[in-house]
Amino acid sequence: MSDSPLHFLRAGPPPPKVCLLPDALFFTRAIPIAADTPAAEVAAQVELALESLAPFPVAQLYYGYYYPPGASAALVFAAYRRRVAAEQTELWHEADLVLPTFAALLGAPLAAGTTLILTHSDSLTALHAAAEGPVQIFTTPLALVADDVSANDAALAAAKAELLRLVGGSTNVLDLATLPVAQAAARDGDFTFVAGEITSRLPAALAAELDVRDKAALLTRRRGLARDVMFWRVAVGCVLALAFMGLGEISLGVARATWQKVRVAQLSAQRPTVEKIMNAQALATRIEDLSTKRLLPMEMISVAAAKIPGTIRFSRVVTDAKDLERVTIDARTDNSGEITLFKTALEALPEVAHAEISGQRNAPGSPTTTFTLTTTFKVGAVKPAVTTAP
Amino acid sequence: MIRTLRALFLARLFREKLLLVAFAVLGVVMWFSGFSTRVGTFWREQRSTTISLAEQKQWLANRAAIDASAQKAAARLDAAQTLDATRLYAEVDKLARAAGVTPGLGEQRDVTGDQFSVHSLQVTITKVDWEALKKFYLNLQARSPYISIEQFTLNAPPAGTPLTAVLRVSSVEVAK
Repeated sequence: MSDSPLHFLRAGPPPPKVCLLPDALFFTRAIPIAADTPAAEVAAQVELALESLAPFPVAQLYYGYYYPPGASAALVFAAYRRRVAAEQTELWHEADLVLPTFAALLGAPLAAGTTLILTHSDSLTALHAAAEGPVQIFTTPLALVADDVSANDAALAAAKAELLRLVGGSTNVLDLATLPVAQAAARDGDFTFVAGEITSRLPAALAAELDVRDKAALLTRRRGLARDVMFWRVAVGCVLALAFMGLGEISLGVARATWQKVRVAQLSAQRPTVEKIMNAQALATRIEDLSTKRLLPMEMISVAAAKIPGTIRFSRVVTDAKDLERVTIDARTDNSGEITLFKTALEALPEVAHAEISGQRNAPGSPTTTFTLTTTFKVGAVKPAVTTAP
Repeated sequence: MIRTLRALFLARLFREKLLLVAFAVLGVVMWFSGFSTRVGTFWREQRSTTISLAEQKQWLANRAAIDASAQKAAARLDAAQTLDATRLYAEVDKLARAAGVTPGLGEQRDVTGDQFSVHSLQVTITKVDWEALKKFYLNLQARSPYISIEQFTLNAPPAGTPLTAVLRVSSVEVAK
């Protein structure tokens, strides 16, 4: 039975790509660093120290350093660039970390006096945790004879004994059966190496200091990584947004099909009853109006007509119960001067609130002027004429 | 799983990453455009429903008060004197003839409720003089509030007479 296509997702992230360089290529030194020195300044101090220590310019070196926070000294390691084969450096651009093999174990929790021995094909490396100062690194060449196993074992044992003698003060010696191997780390950017029973964890910041590659190239690489991480975050944001919108669409559909549907049904069910109530209200208002408010068109016309000057004649009068106090009169006159007189006379009446002339115009070739007079009476000022039942 | 995907994504070529992000952003923009429209529509619908339901609730809550108000309004009228559409027609015709005018009666409108109905009728009187019209008007006003005038339009020719009047009169009918 084949694996699920998503098996690789469950398998977790792959281990980082790490290039471990032979320790024999590097020389190491401990340089004192003040305890509160900022990280950026540590790098500058390391560079200055290398300029004075190394027989080559810094630009000719691949170097890194190990400076755990709060330590009094940094372990600096450097290799002459020409000692590293060009075909090896060509692979570095794909690597997440390039460092000497011993540096991979600098993150291991070692008690003071512990010495780790790393066996390379052509050298031995001892990594000694001293009581004070940084870890000390000792490297010795190993000359093995090709076919003589017993002679090789004896030479190896002698070399290790000589190396331990050189280290001195080892209370606990761990002879590692294998070289460190990179594992998937618990956090992105961190590195974890396992060599035998030793596990070394290098946080991202520490690993950056250990990386021996050209510093300008590393800076460019870090910028590229930062850009890629930004792309990743945008992509994740987009996926989250899509998921959110998917949920939103489902919620919208459910809300429409259940909650809103019930409410619309309730609205429709109540509508006839509510319309009846509204109708009853409208009728009640109408009856109230009919009983208490009367349109008095003839009385309003009589009041206005009593003030007609000279030749003004009414042609149309309109009143409506929607506006009980207003009468609109279309009129004509052969003397347009009388229009203002008429308006003034109306406004002088105690019953009139105000009068307004509009639409004043003359037919071409005619002395007759037509106009509209809108008169608004004061509320209750116009009294009904006395009526008797027929 | 996320870290695996992250590692997978970061291991892609730059152009592949760029394309993936571009497609993802495009997808989000396109979907969001439609989604926001749908959300907006739904929001307006539910808001409108909420407002309508609140209005209905208010009307239903005021039902008793409205009924009482209608009863009170009806109490002002003597049910026996209220006029249905037919009686309104007959009454207006009678009042007009009593005033010596011949009305043209047309276009009736009725608004019917449970307890009351309001009927209205258009009355057109042509070739009438002021005095006869006034008499008819006073006759109508004498029947207030059982008959009332809603609209009144008076047209006069250049000579001043005869006049043309168009009225809309209405009556209330209380269910007995």
